Amino acid sequence: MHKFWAMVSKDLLLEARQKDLWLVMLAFALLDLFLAAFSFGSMARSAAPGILWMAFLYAGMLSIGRGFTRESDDGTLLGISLAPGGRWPVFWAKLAGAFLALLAMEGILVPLYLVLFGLGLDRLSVAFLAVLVLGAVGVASVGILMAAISMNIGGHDAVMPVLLMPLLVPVAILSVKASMALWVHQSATFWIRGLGAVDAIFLALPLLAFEYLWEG
Amino acid sequence: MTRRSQDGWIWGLLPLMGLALFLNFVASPDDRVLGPSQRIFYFHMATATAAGVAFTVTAGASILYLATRNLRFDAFAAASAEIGTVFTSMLLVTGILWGRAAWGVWWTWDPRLTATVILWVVFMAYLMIRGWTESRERRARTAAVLALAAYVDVPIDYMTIRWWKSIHPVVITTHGIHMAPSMVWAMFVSMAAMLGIYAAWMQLRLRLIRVEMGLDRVKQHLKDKLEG
Repeated sequence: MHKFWAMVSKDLLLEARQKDLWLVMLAFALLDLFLAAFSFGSMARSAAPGILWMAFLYAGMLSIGRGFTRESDDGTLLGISLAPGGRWPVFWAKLAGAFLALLAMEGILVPLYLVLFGLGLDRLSVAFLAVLVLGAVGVASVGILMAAISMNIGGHDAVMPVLLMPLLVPVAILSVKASMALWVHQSATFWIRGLGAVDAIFLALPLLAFEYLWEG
Repeated sequence: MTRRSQDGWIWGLLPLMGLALFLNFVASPDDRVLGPSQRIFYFHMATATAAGVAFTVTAGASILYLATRNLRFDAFAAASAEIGTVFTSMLLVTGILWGRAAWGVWWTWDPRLTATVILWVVFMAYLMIRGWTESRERRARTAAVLALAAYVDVPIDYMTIRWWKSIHPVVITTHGIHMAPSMVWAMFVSMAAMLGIYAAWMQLRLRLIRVEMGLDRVKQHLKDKLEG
């Protein structure tokens, strides 16, 4: 547990100090917002959930692999794997780090989008917060598995976008559909359950397969 | 066994394919609403079945590879994924043609169509990743994990038209098959013929992979000799 917390706090501290991730995320979010406002005009409000999740997914795609590539580039992965506590805390720490970074992004972007689209902060219901959390779990779990695969085959630049884009589509569709339903005050139970199921599958898969990706 | 005798059974597929074409184009009637464009469906359904079987073989072989580390299973997974991707391409093309005739549009973002495109893209990525990895063992291990992640979309794709409101027709339900008996025959014989093509293709592709592996071994042997 000590190893897990040490790695999570190290990764988050590095992200907080480097700041580039947050600048890129804000740049993406603003570009996304401008394009949506000029393309959709008065229709932008109804397209808001899709525009919001697009910003998360693009920013997430950029940030998620960083935890692993940093260790890989610095040659520290072998060291932290061999350190007392085993290899599993490393996996859980990378997953938790990616999840917390995504949650922080959501914390910044959601209020910004709600205000700029004129939707009002009353859209922040408990169910919508659950969608945000489940969406972040889905993006983080798929992303960490793909980052580990990417690292395993030499960190080819195109691997992350090529693998991550199609596998994130179910998480993206379910999150957008759930957000859309909630924002027009309809039941989103079906979409939230689907999101939970996809999360469970993509959390279980790394647990079963991660040992095979460690073998060097 | 000689190669000719190994491949002999493939010629036996010709009567089956002939029968499938006869049932498709001659024996089955035009659809009352769709007219002759209904006949695209027999190819569409058959390629969908072959793609589903191919990806299931890939997933099964990937699990067996991870459990045993026998590269023969990796060869099975790779060959089946390649063929499954070709069948999915055929599935998308026949679907697009049928959609134009039935719905009046080439493409719509229906859940079934979306899930099928995702499946195609994921397995294309799987094949690309295989090409990017030098070490045979590492490639087999990474590809096996990726195949299992990609396979998640296969049951989702199958169930989309049952879970969501989809404009894609549901032909086989728990209440039976919603088609005339002659159409049902054309569908099943087309499926059998396409599965026969899959089996023949697997045999040929696996042989080629074995040759590639043998060539790699010879190259490695020569390299070791020259270096040392």
